[in-house]
Amino acid sequence: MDSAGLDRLLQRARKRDAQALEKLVDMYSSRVFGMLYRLTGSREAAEDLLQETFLRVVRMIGNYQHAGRFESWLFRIAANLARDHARRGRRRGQRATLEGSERDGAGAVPAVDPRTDPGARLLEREAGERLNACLHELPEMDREIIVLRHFSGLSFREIADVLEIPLGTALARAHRALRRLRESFREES
Amino acid sequence: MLRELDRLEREADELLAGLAPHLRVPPPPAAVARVRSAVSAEVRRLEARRQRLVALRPLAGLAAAVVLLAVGLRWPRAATSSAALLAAGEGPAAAFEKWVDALEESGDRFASLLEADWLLDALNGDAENTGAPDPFESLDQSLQSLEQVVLGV
Repeated sequence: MDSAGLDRLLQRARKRDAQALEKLVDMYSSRVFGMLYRLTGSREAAEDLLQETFLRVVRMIGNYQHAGRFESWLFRIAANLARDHARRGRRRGQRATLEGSERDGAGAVPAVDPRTDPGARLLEREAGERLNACLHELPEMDREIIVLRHFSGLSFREIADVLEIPLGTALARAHRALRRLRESFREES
Repeated sequence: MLRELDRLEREADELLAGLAPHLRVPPPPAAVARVRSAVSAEVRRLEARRQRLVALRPLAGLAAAVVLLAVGLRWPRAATSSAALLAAGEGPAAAFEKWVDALEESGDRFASLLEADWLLDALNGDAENTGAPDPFESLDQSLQSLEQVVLGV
C-alpha cells in the first residue's frame, strides 16, 4: 500500500472504522507476530500479545498523531507488551522456554510458501528452529534490538529510544549479538 | 564518532540481512482471524460505551447541580458555632484572651489568700465582714468566660 493509501486507511481507523482496523490487522499481523514470537519464544504468548497489540491500537488510535510513522508506533506498542510479558515471566521465576512447535513440527507454521516442495520447507523450518534457539541464548536486550530492527523497521535510534539506551550502546550490542548469532548459527548448521 | 556509528549500523544491517530469511514466522491464519474478530468486538464495545456516555451527559449536569445545591444548603449549618461568637460581639481570640486574663487574676487572688491569715476566717463565713473580695467570684467569672469560648454562647 502506498503512503497516501495508508494515510486514508489510518484516517478511517482513527474514527474507529472496523473495516479499516481489520485491514491494518491483515497488513501488519505477520510482522508483528514474527517479532513477538522471536521475542517471547512462545507461539501462544505471541498470539495473545498480537491480539493485545491490536486491541491497544483500537483504544489508542484516536490519540495517535499520524506523521508517517504508524509502523514505528505499532511496533513500539508490541515491543512494550513483549517486555512486560518478559518482566512478568521473570517475576514468576519462569524462564522463557522455546516451545516445541518448531522443533517437533506439530502446529508449526511454515516459514516459506507452502507451495514450495516439502524438503525445502523442512530445511527452512529447521533453520528457523536453530535460529530461534540461538536467539534465545543471547541476552534479552541484544535479542530485542535485533528482532526490533528486523521486524519493525525502526531505526537504531528509535530502537535505542524504545529501550532507553544510548544509540552507541544499541549499535554495539546489535553488532556483537549479530556476530555471535551468525557464529552459533553456522556452528549449529 | 558519527562515522563509526554509521559503520556499525551498516555492518549490523548486513549481518541481519543474512539471517533475515530464517527469521520469518507468519502467524497461523486462525490466530489472525481471532485478532480480527477481537478488534471488531472492541470497536463495538467502545462505540456502545461512547453512546452510553453521550446519553448520560445531561444527567451528569443535573447531578452536578444537585451536589452544588446540597453543598449550598449545608454551608450555613456548618458555620453556626462561629456565627454565634461573632453575634456576641467578640471573636474567639478576644474571648480566649479575656478568659486567660480572668484566670490569671483569680490565680493571683488565690495566691494572696493563701498567704493571708484571713483565709480561715473567710472559710468560716467571715469574709464579708473583712471587706476583702470574694475569692471564688473571680474564678466563677473566668469559668464563665471559658464556657463562652468553648460552647460559643
